[in-house]
Amino acid sequence: MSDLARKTIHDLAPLIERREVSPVEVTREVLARIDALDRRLHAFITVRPDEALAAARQAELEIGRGEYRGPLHGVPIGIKDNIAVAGWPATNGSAAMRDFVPDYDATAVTRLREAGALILGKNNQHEWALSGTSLWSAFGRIHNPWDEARVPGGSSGGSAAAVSASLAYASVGSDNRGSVRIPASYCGVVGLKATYGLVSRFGQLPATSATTDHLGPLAKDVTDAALLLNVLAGHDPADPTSIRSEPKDYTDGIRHGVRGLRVGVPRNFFFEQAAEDVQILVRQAIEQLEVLGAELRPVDLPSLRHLSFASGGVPTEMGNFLLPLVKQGRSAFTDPMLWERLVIGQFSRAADAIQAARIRNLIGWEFKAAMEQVDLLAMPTMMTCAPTIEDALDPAKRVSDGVIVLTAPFNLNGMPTISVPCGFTGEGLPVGLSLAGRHWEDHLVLRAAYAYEQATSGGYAVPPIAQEQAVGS
Amino acid sequence: MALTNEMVSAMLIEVFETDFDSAEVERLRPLIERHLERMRQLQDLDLGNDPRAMAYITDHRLQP
Repeated sequence: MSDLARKTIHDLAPLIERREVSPVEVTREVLARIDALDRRLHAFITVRPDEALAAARQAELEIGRGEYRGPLHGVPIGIKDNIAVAGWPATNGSAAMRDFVPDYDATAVTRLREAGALILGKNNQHEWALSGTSLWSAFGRIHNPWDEARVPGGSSGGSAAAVSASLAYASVGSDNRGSVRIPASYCGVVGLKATYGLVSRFGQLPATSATTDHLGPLAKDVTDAALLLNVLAGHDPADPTSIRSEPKDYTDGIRHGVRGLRVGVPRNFFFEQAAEDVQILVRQAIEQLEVLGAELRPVDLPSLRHLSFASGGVPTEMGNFLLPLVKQGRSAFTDPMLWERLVIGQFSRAADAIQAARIRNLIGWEFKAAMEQVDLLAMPTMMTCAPTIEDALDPAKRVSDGVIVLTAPFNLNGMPTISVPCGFTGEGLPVGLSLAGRHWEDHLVLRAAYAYEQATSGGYAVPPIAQEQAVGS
Repeated sequence: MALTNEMVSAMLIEVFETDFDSAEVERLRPLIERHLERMRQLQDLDLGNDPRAMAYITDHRLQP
């Protein structure tokens, strides 16, 4: 792999600004990589080389005229396929949406374009964003760049696979139960779900569940995630849940370290469900935070024992939206389990939704009380490393049910949460450390993740498939 | 809750306004039974008397 493809955005941006590297050169590089590798990974549904190169030439002209807009200017970025890009198909991984072409940009896309980012393509995903595996898409099964026999996680699986294999410098995904953080953990990249209401969801098609949906970046390292958040964050009147907040530079203070921060380590729920190799790596990562000066404190969150009731089985907006498609029968879906889940979901009652909301509230209050004692929480992002496709296809193993368990609490409570790589299992598969903070303290989450990253791996690790592909790169 | 295929078929028609073939009904029956049992367990949960838990949804972002 070439040095250019391997770079992070914060490494690449100064070269573009100084005109040592052209956005056209950068775009050609990633397009060549997509051409060479994506037939194996299926990380993209739509790529438009001509449009990407035309935008790159425009960026080159602007920068040449001294109109440099900032670190995303001239940088090719992917967008999950359930997010609207004007004039591009938005399939949501479903054959039923093959010909759906929105005529407007999502606010996230508008902001990226204003920052000069180049929209490279639409990333593949699990059908309708309704599973954390990415096992099923009408546009091909997505594979994990660290081991092609494994799932990449989801539902933003194409986004994570593309960033991990350096087919894009970053991507924007959606996260309703963990769909940014799950694939980030499985693919060894950084995934950030900011405070609910900080990043506009306008243009997410359709809402999965409006009170738990988030859009967020998948990036090669923590600094790049902060650079993306700088652009994505901010009030949007088109999203009724968007909250007015002061513009902030999330890279400011990112180097201030964790000395004196109180890091809560949950005693129940998270570690007790994690595989031993994951537990070992995440506990080592948390010990590293202590070495760096953080104070570790145990935290109890007993209501999480009811989580499965609050997070699954109750009616959602997506369930209602898809009802006409469900009526068409099983064949309207690529994922054979999805149709069944949507049918069954119709037999929940309003009383069930209200009881589930009470549980959600209890969990929310417990997290809120815990966050009065600590500044951050640290725990595993996932229970395991990426499962094999064979295991995920076996209904008896219930992989799809298990993947969202540790990430869903932070969709229910809206706290900012990041997954940052924290090492590899004996099989060479990445594992993610999850750090969560108080609402609106996204900067602290990024700061702790950065401190950990810099003290350990130093950032982006290149997966085998990206290393073996040297031809043309 | 034990359901017969006839009961499941009637439930499906009620919601989906369409007839499901018998093989599909047979396949869905245990899944619907399990789901209804889960929802019964949900209703039976004792969530305590904390008045904060009685609210439908609290937006924790907005609390001082």
